Amino acid sequence: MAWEPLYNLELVEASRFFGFYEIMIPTEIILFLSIALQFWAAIYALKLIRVTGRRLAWICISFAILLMAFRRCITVFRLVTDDIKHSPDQMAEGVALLISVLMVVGISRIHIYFQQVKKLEEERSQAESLLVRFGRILDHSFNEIYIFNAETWKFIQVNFGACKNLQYSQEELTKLTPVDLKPEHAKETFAELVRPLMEKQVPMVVFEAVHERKDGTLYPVLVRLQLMHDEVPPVFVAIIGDITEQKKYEAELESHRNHLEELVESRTRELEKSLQRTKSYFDMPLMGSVISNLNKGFIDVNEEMCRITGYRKDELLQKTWAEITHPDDMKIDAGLFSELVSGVRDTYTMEKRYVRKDGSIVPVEIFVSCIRNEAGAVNYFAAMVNDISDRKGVEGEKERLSQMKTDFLSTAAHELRTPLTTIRGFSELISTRSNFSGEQIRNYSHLINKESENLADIIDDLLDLSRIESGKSFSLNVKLANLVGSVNEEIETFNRQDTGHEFPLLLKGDPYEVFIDPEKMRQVLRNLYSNSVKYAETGCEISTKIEFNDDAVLISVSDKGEGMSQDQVNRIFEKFYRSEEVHKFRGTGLGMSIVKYLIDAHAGKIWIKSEIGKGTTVTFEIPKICCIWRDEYSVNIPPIDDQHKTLLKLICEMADSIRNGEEMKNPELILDELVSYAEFHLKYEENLLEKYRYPELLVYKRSHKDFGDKIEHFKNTPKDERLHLLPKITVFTYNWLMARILKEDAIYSSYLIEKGVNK
Amino acid sequence: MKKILIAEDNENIRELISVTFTGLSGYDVMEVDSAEKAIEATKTYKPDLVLMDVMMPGPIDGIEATRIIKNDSDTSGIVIIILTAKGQKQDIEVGKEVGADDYIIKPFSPGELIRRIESVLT
Repeated sequence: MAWEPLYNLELVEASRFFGFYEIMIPTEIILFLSIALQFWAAIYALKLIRVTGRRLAWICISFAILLMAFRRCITVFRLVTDDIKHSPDQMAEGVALLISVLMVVGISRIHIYFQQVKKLEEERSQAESLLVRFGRILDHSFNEIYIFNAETWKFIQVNFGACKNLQYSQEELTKLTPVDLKPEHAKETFAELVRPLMEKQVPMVVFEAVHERKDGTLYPVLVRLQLMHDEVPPVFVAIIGDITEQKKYEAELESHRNHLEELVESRTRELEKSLQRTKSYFDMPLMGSVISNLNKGFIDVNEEMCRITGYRKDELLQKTWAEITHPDDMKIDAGLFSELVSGVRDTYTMEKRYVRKDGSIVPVEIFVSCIRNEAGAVNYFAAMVNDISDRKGVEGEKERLSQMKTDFLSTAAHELRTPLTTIRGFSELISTRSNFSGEQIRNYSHLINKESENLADIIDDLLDLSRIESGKSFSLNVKLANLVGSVNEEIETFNRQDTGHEFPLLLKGDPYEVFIDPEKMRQVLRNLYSNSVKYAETGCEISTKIEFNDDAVLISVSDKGEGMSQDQVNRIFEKFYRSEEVHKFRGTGLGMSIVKYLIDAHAGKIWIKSEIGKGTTVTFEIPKICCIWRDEYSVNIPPIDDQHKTLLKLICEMADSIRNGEEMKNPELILDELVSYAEFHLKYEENLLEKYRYPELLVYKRSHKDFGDKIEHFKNTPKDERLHLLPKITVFTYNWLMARILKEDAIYSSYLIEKGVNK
Repeated sequence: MKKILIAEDNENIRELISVTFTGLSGYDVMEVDSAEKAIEATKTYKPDLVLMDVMMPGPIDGIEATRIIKNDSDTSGIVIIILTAKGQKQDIEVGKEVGADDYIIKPFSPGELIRRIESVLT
């Protein structure tokens, strides 16, 4: 072998140097080790084919190594076959072993390296495929993803979602900036928006914006913007979601919410109103309102309750109703209350008394109800408290009146029995005793006569009063009369009685006749004079003044007697009223009541001025206008005047002839009477209305107007035509007059009286 | 001689009673027209019997006067007949309460009056 000498030369020198190995390690072992290592290396090299993929190279290397291994195998064979000539140099074989070791190590290193490389490559390809998928997904996401330059803001990359939403192509978009897409943003506002990112203050900004599509339509978006500082150049990454739906939901939600809020608000308002209403009912001053609890304590009370009880609200809230209820009423109240609590009853009403703060007693009517919750437990009690002092007062007034009546009957009996005693006594004495002289008998007879007259007067008074009161058989026979005459006659009567008083009479104004019942008027005057005679000392003047004014006659009777207190004056017209001081004089206590009734019946007014110790002046007024009488007095209303009487007669005849289809008699006469009368009547009734102004009576006024218009029409119509109109208007007038004068005037007058003529 | 005091404000009735006793022997009659005067007269005149009208003017009436007379030991022995025009039960009862011995209701018969007086005085 050509290479052997070299081999030997080199190894010989080396073996000399490392000669001690000969002793230590037999050559065969070195050879075996070399062979084993070379085989291992060759197999390893083959394994590398799979790792590296370079088949030819590694087969060649492996073949070379195998060759070396074969060479050693032959050497070993020669050694075994004792071919000593060819005994290998131990030194060389040792180097070969070392090389083999190095080979194995080297190949294993290469193997590890390639294995790592392969693993890395696999990992990279896996990562790449993931990235691609991710990118693809992102690209097709409906979210718009934008990457744009942090300095120029030009889009670098946009995803498919963005293109689709915006209707731009990728190319078109790369020429735009985010500001171009956001119509509500200018460069400045966008810069302001991204400033926190640029300054690294925040990792991300999220904001809502509006994107404009290529076609100009708008849609709301939510933008999540991030700045990638590490990229070169730095880029913004924006992930943008279309929030149209969300906005729609939000809007719907908002509207629902608003609706709900409105509903809640309106309900609240209603509730408040209802509460206010309840509160206002509660606070109504008509009745005391109370909310109380199971322990009878007050929870709430209104002002009226405070007024009734005399306690302040805060004081009442510290109390229970048991504390302010009159002890005598407590048993019943507590009994009813416990029935209410136990559910035997839902409400109860009772009359009871409260003890007010000042200790006085106030009668009340209470209405208590129990308010329970759904479970049936007692929530609270609501009570209405009605102050019935007034009602009790009315009852008291009734009792007082009844007492007055009893007193009156007793007094009346006394007044009747006293003259009767004289009459009976003297008549018995005259008839039973024979020892009286003729003079005595005459005296006693005179007494009997006088007392019987007195008795008759008293009976008249009583009867008058009872007639007036029942309003049935009392009649006023009204006629046009001279009041002065009545006054004079009555003064004459009193003068004849020789009471020791002067009765001067003073007239003022032009006298005129008024519609009065002269007999009743004298009764009035008689009562006034006899009162004055009673209270004024002998020798005093009882002066009468008659004043004829435009609308009424005033008659006043003054005396300088004892006078009366204001209280007495206020009560003087009460029936059966007699002041304590009056008891020393005879009287039924009816005189002034009767006077008042009579003046009322004449549609007049009466009033009194009096001062204790100075005297009394009674004044009454009889209206000039005549037809205001109260119909309940069964006033016998006469024709208003002679003209009226004539007219009525004519109209009655006219009506009869019209009904009978006869020729009218004296139509001209009727016409003239009618017109002049109607004018008179209308005029004075207009005066009445002007004077008293009762809007209810405007109905009347209109009917007057109707009639007045007819009359006017009548007057302005040519004479011949008037005759044709006459029957119509006559019938109308007839009905009108009969209805009005004979009936409605009485109603009319009662109206006036009711409305305050006599107040 | 029995002394009769008439306390009555009505002049005619006073005269009637007075005339009733006229011509009857054994009676002396005195008239007053008010309750106060009646009380006074019971002390000065010392009547055996008083005919006392109930309703008389003045501060006190016949009932009150009767009470005063009956409560005074000097005058409590005097017989008092109440004259009442009211004729109501309560007046009669009140009269009896204050000590009146009898009552006569107006209008009365003079003969009846005498009979009643005689009966209470015997």
